[in-house]
This record gives sequence, structure tokens and C-alpha cells, in this order.
Amino acid sequence: MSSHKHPDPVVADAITKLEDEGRKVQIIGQIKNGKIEIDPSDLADLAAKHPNLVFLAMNSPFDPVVPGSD
Amino acid sequence: MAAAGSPRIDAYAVLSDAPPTDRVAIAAELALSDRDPPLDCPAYRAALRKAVSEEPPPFSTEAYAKIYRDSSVSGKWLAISLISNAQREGQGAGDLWTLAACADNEAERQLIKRHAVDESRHARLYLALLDLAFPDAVDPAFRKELDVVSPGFTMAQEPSVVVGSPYATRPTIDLYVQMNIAEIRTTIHHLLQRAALALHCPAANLPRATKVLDSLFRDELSHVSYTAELIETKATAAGPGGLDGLYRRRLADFNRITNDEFGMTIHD
Repeated sequence: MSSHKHPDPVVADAITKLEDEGRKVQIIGQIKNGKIEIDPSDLADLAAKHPNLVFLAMNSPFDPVVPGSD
Repeated sequence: MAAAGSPRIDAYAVLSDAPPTDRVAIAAELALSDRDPPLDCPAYRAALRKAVSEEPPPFSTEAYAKIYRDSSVSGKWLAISLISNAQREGQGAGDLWTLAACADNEAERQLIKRHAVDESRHARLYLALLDLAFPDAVDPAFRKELDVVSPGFTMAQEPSVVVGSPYATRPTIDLYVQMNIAEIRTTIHHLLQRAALALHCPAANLPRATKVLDSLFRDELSHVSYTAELIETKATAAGPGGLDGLYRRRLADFNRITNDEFGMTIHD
């Protein structure tokens, strides 16, 4: 954990809160039909506070090829 | 790889010190210079620089970095982001495995196969970061299940078409341009992840997490450089508008995808 105060006040406040909470993180979920399903209450809580759960790694092409178009 | 006898550039330091708006072009330059011997790829470089100037990528802005910083102060957000990235890397590995199976050129087939194997390993590395930064955070039964996100591809296996992959097609310059752009964004994500993980990772685990991040970062640069080389080789096959037009069009597409992921237009 960083020992100096973050220059962004929003981030600094959140870090303080994180420290106060003892940095506890609990994730519950399951794999269903090959897909990850995080516990809905976890996601709902998170989406309300942090709606941008994206920033996904991309390594393959992003425009699916339509059969017969090649 | 750095040229023999020359000091290796600390690509991570160079990229993280660069202004966010310059990071796409600098990531590409670092990738090209990281090869032994360094790659020139003049047509690729020119196309990328022109495209970035005409279609500024939202993922190369301070606003984008700030959204990540603000979100990732939440440990739960970061942990779920790592899980989501592991899953995405596993899916991407399957698409690349499929593409490798369809390549009719043996050299390209081997390069794409290597890429698929790397991404399959990356799925596991994201889970390793999860374990290191958030030990015991994930329900043990769920954590065990998560291992299936990596397809476990190895170089000893023969690539085959993965059911459901939309990339059962011969690889083209268009697909290489898409991969190149996507890999540059992923390289930039690693800068953001490193800073965020330092906030959450227990001090005792941080050196190991840093090694994992170094490995991921090196691989991304390698993927940027091999796709750049293939793009350069195939530049004359870019079609109407040439390579400049193709790269610009695909960057605009990817910018739209990035903005759509956030439900808003990101700019400084």
C-alpha cells in the first residue's frame, strides 16, 4: 500500500477508506456453461460505485469475420 | 530483443514516462526497437502515426487513465477486472488458435500459434496476479473453477478450429492490423494495472507480481512487433486507400468499440 497521499483527492479518499476497511476483498462466483458468473450482489454493488468495469485485454481481431466474406 | 551489445531499453519506464497522448506511437516504436535486429517497417510506422493523428485513440488519453485509477482504488473492482481479463485472454487464445489453423503460410502459422500459446498462458498469469494481490479473496471453489479459462495451448499441439470462434478464416493484413491495434491498447493497460496492483498487493507478494507484469508487458510488445512486421510485408495487399486508409479505418473502429465499452466518448 502506498504510504504517501495520492494527488487526486477522490483516489486519496478511496485509499483511506480502503485502508480503514483492512483491504478486505471477497469475490464469490461460479463457472456456468463455460462463462464466469460473479455473484450478482457483488456486481450490483460494484456497478453502483464503479460503472466502468471494462479495460479488457484484447489480443485477437475485433471484427468477426462473416462466413463467405473472405 | 535488444540489438547485440546495446543496452536494453527499459520499455516500461519509457512508456510510463510518456504523455498519455503519445503512448500509442511510442509503444509501437518500442516494440519495433525491441527486436534483434530492430525492425524498420516504414510503411507501418507512417500509417500508424497518420491514423493516430487523424483518429486520436481514447485509450491514449489522460481521461482514460484517470477512469482506471479512480476505479481501481476499489480492490473488488480490480480483482473482478483481473478475472475478466483472464477470461478474455482465454477467449482470444481460442480465436488465435483458430486463425493459426487456417493459415496457409507455415511461417505465419507458427507466429500466430506462438501468439495463441502466449495468450493461453496470459489467462493463467492474470489469475496469478489475482492470487498475489488478493490472497484468499476468492471463494476457494470458485477460484479452482477459474483455472478453466485458460485453454492450456502448447507449442507441442497442432492448432485447430475452436468451435464458436468467428475467425476460421485465412489471416489477412486487415486481421493483422486489428490485432496490432488491440495489442497496443493492452500494452497501455499494463501501465495502468501495474500502478493499481501496487496499491493493493501485499508487500511480500509485490516482487513476484512485478515479474508477472514484466512478462506480460514483454509479450505484448512482442505481439505488436510481429504483427507490425507482417503488416509491413503485406502492405501492398491493403486494398483501396492503401495501408494508411486501412489502419485509419480500423483504428476508428476500435476507438468506437472502446467508447462503446464505456457508454461515452472519452477525450481529454
